[in-house]
Order: sequence, then C-alpha cells, then structure tokens
Amino acid sequence: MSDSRSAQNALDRECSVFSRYLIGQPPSAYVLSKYRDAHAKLPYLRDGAAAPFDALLIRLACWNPFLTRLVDSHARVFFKHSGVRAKLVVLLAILESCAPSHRYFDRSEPCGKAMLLLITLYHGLTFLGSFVLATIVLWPARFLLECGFARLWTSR
Amino acid sequence: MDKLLIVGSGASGVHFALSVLQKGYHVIMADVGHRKPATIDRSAAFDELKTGLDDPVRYFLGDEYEAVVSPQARQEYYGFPPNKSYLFKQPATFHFEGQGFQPLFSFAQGGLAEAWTGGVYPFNDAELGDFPFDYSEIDPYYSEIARRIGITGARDDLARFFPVHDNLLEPLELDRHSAQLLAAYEMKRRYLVGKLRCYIGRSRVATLSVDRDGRTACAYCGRCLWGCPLHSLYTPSLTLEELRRHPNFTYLPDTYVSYFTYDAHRRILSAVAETPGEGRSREITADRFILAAGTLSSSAIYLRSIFQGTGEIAILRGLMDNRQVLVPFLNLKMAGQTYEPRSYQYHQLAVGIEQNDPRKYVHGQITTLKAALAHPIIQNMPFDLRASTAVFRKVRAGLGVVNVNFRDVRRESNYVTLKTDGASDHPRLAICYSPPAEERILIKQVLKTVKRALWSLGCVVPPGTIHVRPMGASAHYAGTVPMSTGAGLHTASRDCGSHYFDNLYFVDGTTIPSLPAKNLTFTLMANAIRVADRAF
Repeated sequence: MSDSRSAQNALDRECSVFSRYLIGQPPSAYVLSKYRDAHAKLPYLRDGAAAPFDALLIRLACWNPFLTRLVDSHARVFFKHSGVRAKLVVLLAILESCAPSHRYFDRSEPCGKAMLLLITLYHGLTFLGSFVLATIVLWPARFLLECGFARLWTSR
Repeated sequence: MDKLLIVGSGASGVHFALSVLQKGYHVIMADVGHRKPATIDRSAAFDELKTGLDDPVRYFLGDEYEAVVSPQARQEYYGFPPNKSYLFKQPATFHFEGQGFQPLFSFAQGGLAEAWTGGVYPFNDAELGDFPFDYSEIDPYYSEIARRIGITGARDDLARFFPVHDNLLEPLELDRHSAQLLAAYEMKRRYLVGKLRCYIGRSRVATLSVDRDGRTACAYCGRCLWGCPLHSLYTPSLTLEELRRHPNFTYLPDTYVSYFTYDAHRRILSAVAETPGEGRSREITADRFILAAGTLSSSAIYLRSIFQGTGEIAILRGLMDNRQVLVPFLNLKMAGQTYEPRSYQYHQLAVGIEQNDPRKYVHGQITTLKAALAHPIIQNMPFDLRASTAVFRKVRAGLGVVNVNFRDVRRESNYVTLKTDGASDHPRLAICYSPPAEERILIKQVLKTVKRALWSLGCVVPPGTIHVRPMGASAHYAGTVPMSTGAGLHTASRDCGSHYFDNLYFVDGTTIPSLPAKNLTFTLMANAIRVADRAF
C-alpha cells in the first residue's frame, strides 16, 4: 500500500472515530473527503502533532470514541490549542455545514427547565469524570515523554 | 459644469455622487472595485443551503477552510464568510503597519459597508458638539438617506438618544428571543431605567420591512451574514449600480489612486493611479477632487500627495475608532426552546446606557443567536466538545451577545503617517494608536451595568466569555483631517474642503471631529450629501 493511501486511510479512520465521538454518527463519504481536504490545506492540522505529547494525544484519541473523550476533556483544560482540538474543531465545522449531519446541530427537541438542568448536569459530570480519569492517565505519560521517552515513542 | 473625481465607492462616496449627479455635474469614480461573487440560490434559506448545495462546506467554510475558527484563533464568535473575502483583497503596492491598531481595509465595490450589520443611528446635538454644525443642519440629510436606503425602526425609549428623522419604515418582525427580551424590559423598566439608566428598544437598521424601489422586503431567510440574497439589507454597491446607469457618470474600476499632483498654489491637477497588478501609472484630471476611500485610505492618499509634492512626511493626528466589547449571554427563559434559523440574523434590539455627560453615551446592539455557524461558540463552552455540542443544542435558542460600543475622541497620541524604506516608491501607511488611560476603568464600570441589566432580564453572562475586541476591529475610523471652524493646515472647512489643497474635499470619516459610541456610517452618508448640497 502506498504511503499516501495509508495516510488517507489513517485520516478516514480518525474522522470516523471523531465523528462518532462528536455527534454519535459515522461520517458520510462527503465529510470524509472534506476532512482529508482540510488536512491537505490547513497547515495547523498538518503540523499539529509536532510535539511528542500532542502526537500521543492524537494517537490515543483516534483509537475509539471513549479515548477521544478522555483526550478531549484533558485538552479542553490543559491543551486548548493542541493539534487534537484543532482536528476536532475542523471536523465539527464540517459536520455542521452539510447534510445529514447538520441536523444534529440544527434540530433539537424542546425541553423544560428541569430537563435542561438534568442534561447539563449529566454532561458536566461526565466531562468532569473524563477529565479526572484522563488526567490520572495522561499526566504521567506527559512526564515520561518529557523525561526522554519522546524518541522511543516517535520511533514506534 | 465642473468635472468631479471621486476616489472610492463606499457608503459616503456613492451618495455624494448621486447628489452631485442630480445637480448636473459630470462625475468620474476611481475605484479598485473588487467585485462580489454572484449570489447563489436567492430563494433558499440558510438551513436549505446545507442540504441543497452540491458543496455546502465550500460555501460555508471556504476553499481553504478560512471560515473555520480554530482553537488557535483569537476569541471571536463567528468566522468571516468566505464569499466576503473579496472585501479585504488589497493591491500589491498597498502596505501598512499598525501599532496598537489592527485596521481593516477594503478595496471592494461598496467598501467596508458591504460587510456591515446595517445599524443606522443619527448623532444628536450633544454628540455633534464638536462639529461645526448642529442637528438641525444635518437632519434633512438623515431623512434623505433614510429615503434612499430604507431604514426600519420605532419611536421608543431609545428616541431620547437617536433623534427621529423622516422616512422611517415599520420595524422588522422580531424574532422570538428578541421579543422575549423586549417584554422582559417592559416588566423591569422601572429598575433598568431608574437605577441603571439603561434603555432598550428597537435597533434602527437599513433593512427593508416592505418592498420598495425594486428591492424586496426581508424574507427572514437567515442569510444576512453571508450577504442578503434579496438586497433587503442595504449595501452601497446597490447605489453604485444605480449610478452606473446615469449618463454623466463614469466608473473606473481597477483604478488604484496613489496620490495627487498639484501646482504651486496647491491646486490639484490630477490623480495618479495604477491598475493593480500592472504597475503602469496614469493620470486622471478633473476640476475638483473628492476623497471617499475611507478614513485610512483617504489619509494615505493625502499624505502621499504631500510627500510626492514636497518630500515632507506629514503626521495626521487624532485618529479615532470605537472600542467594542462583546458580552455573550444566556437567556434562561429561552434555553430549552427550539431555535429559529429563519429569522433576521443581525441585531434587532439596541441598548443605550445614559451617562452624566450625554457625549459619553454608551451604545450596545443586542444580537440573539439565530442562523450561524456553531463551532466557534461550542469550542468556548466549558466542557469537552461532545458535551458542549449536546448542551449547545439545548441552549442555542437562549444565546445572544451584546456588542458594547464606546465613544472615542481625538488625541494627539493617535496618528497616521508614512514610513519609507528609501528605495520604495510606495511608502507604507503607519498607524499608531493607544487607548486612553481611563479606558480600563470605564469598560469595567459599563460591563458591570450591562451584566446587572442582563441579569434583571433573566440572562446570565458565562464567566470568562467577555471579549474586548482589538482597536481597529470596529472599522469606525475617523478624525485625521477634522472639520473645524479654524483653518489649521491639516483640517477641513465646515463643508469638508481641505485647508491644505485648494480643490480637495473629504466626504468619508476623515473629517469627523469626534466619534460617539454609535455606528457612524449613517452620519457619513448624510454628511456626504450635506457637503454635496452646500459646496457643489
């Protein structure tokens, strides 16, 4: 398999995991093509994984939606400008701009104040849980990387 | 009749041109004139474009994804639509540097007002205090501009800050969220007005609520930011189209005026212009010359003319701009409801905060969130993106932002001048701006009032979301060659004639001697036709 085909497959897999994480739906072929196109055109997506810890975050995040959530929760607080956040935000922008995924953003059943409070509380607590778990796992990983394991990681 | 050369096709230039054409003058308009792309599918609403277009991502985010607001970007709450990127394309020979100032320049047909949000607020007598005329002189010109462009508004509590001129159309239909806020204001009016001196009412906007002059009333399609497909929202390129049908009007697009040549008596003889990208210069002659390129570009032409003629690098002091602070809020009463993509997208309510000195009035525009790209907002919410997206869907109908504007006055420390590299024929425009020392305290005080007012209306301001925009972001530039009753070298007469050059007039923000907190475009248009009426 050529390098470009393999890179394309990696991006498709990444997009698929991220899309399921963000909106709970797999991406359409159009979204996949736009995600690849964005990576070809946006330098901050291409160069986003320059730092070893950033590369680690992206590798972990594209494993499955659960890990994406852990990584994103951690990045939201400590690495808001990280490559993984940039990738997720670009995909978010693509998903909300086209059918059928835009419906997830644009259509929502109305709910009462109590339900809204419960929904917010649920998401807030889930975020908090993910954040704590991610921090327990990722801080030591970051420490190890900064102590010289970077080469070991990147050579894998 | 004299032949007039107008430089620039922005809001003031086109209305000046229309007035002098009606008087029988021959008018040449020199303009770089980048053109807007064709409007796609005029009948589709914002949400229909996402399903109806072949490549909706290209339309909403751009070929290069330039409308994506990345986490690395400054805290802005919307990305600029790709179909308006033509507005900021610059000629290769135009260079500038800003210190404490991030200016916007437009060389497009219609200028910066092609991207405005249509706010039109007349200045009152207090705000015209530094002008060499009072409200009664400019009032008929406000009314005339209102007749030409179509302005909707209401005679409400804000009339104490915005004089009511003639030709005001019925206001637009309020979106549900704005209507709820206005109803809440009526309930809490006593507290808001009595304690906070905070007044809320209908915005005055240059958007049609009824069909007229070949333009269609607002269809509430939610596409305002992407360019009104029905021309209900006025933009100067509409008047430019009208001008181009006039037999005495000559439009010279692809013409970048660099400077003027003049004789020993400082009478301008010609404008030296080039076609962007070609580099060859040509001269355009006329009897009188009118700068309408926008304050910064007009100042650049004026400064380069002096430099070319005398070698002197002049300094134009007194540059002004409105500081803008964005205050996002969540209306708890609206949260949980469905949102309305098919609404007028821009501000429908305005807020006036009265000060002891009426010249220090603080003005705000309240925009409730309707059709818009969501990712710039979602990424600033305090959860991971999945949770933020889920919560955003539920609270979307209750989100909004108050854009608070502060006035500015001319200060010596703020100026524009030229900088040369020695070898270059094209000196750079250098802009230097520093805010007043007391600005921080003033912003803090006003924001406290805004937050209390919002709280009383049932809205909360999420912590950490207030954004003080950099100077230059409002694009309300003014004051470098102020009109004055004196005759200082780099000032203008009460009819905006230059005191330096014999036959040069300014009809843009260059001559505005003080800048109230309100959007000044309406006043620029009215002043332009005042000058046309009095001096031509």
